[in-house]
Amino acid sequence: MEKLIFGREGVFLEDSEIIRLFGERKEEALSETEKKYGAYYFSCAKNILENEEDAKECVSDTYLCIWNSIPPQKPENLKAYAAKICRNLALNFLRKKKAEKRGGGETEAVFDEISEFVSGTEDPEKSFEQKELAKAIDDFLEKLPKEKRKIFILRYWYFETVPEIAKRLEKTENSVRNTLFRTRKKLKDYLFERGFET
Amino acid sequence: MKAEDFVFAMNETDDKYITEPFEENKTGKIIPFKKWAAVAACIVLSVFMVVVATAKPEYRLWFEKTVTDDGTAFFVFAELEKFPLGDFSENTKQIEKDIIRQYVDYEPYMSSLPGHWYRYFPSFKEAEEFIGFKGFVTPELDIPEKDASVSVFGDSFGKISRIGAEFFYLDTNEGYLGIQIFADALTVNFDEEIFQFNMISPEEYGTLKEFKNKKGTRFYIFEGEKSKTGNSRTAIYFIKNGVLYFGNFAYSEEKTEKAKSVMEDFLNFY
Repeated sequence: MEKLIFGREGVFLEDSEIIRLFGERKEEALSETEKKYGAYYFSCAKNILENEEDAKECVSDTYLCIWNSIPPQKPENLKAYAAKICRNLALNFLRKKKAEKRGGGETEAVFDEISEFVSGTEDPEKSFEQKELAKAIDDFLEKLPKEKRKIFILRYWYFETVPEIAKRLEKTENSVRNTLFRTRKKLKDYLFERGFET
Repeated sequence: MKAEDFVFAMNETDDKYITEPFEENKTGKIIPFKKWAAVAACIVLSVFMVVVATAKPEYRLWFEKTVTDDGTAFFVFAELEKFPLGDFSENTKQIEKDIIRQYVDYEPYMSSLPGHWYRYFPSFKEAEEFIGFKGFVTPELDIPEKDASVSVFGDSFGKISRIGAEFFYLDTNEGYLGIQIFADALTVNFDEEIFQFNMISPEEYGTLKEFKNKKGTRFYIFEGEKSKTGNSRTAIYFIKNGVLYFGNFAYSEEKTEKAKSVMEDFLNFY
């Protein structure tokens, strides 16, 4: 039996079914992705860009990228696969905008927090490649307790605000702030121990 | 290392960590109902009725049991009043236009799914004034009002079939107590007899109790197990004056007494 997921807005196709539609170059794949994950991708983009119009543009670019990349790609997790594309596009979009004018707002606040544990200096010889840094972050995340990891991801992957995280995870804002503070400190030590120029 | 390097490196995070925050704790600001959407519902058994009840002779609220991959769940069904659009404020006229525009502008590559209009309000009062519907009533509880939102559903001709509102109370002083009250009203454009509301997920339904207050309102109360965050949950469904209400209470242990007291006020109010 075909598996369906029931939501308030109707019946969603399984990811594997949507990916099959992409494989067959059927535009229905896009509308099904939009129906199932559109609000989620929009939210990912809007948290970073803090502007609805920019976020819409970013999400539409995301769909174009998915369309162009599947096939040959065949992601196991469509939700995360496209979310990564969307986040990357949003960050690049933001980088362009920042080149014109520094933004302020929540995204800037996330960058400021990260600057607490990274020095902000350019390392021309980059002792570790970006991929190695990514792997170290992944290893760090694996060692974190699940609740702390969720808070960290919501803040630094999704750029959610502290009150939003507190509401989502049913915690107090203070507890979220404290967790973030301690996790940043741990990560700083963790990266330092592994030779990253923080 | 620059902050930007770190932010971009995080893009390589393992997929499982990216989706993890939405898998187990499902209350969210984007669409609170996503919590049910996340339940993998492989429907195995056909449904059977567990509760049939009458709030007023012409309104009915009932729950149908089904089995999903995760266990037993319930669908919520109701027969409700169909209100004329004149019962709502003039703002609905603009919303009709907005919904038509959603369909006209709809492009699968870029648009959100058309037919669902949503707006956030920083206070209950602003949401109530905006929608201007006397049928949506909220109690004054001993807990601060946080914010509210209005959702309107319509077709490509702008015909509005359903108007809903969410009212959120929140107290995070020495513990957590959050209450969402969802109110849903159908309009004369709703062309089916039965309204399927949503699904109560296995981890949420716990035990079902019925309660009738002094005003004759009958409540269906699902007392859930403690969630993984350690908070307790109680979901309360009822119909009042033809409107379907759903109250979702989540509270930490230290707020148990407060939650019970507020719940009592809530049950006595309607």
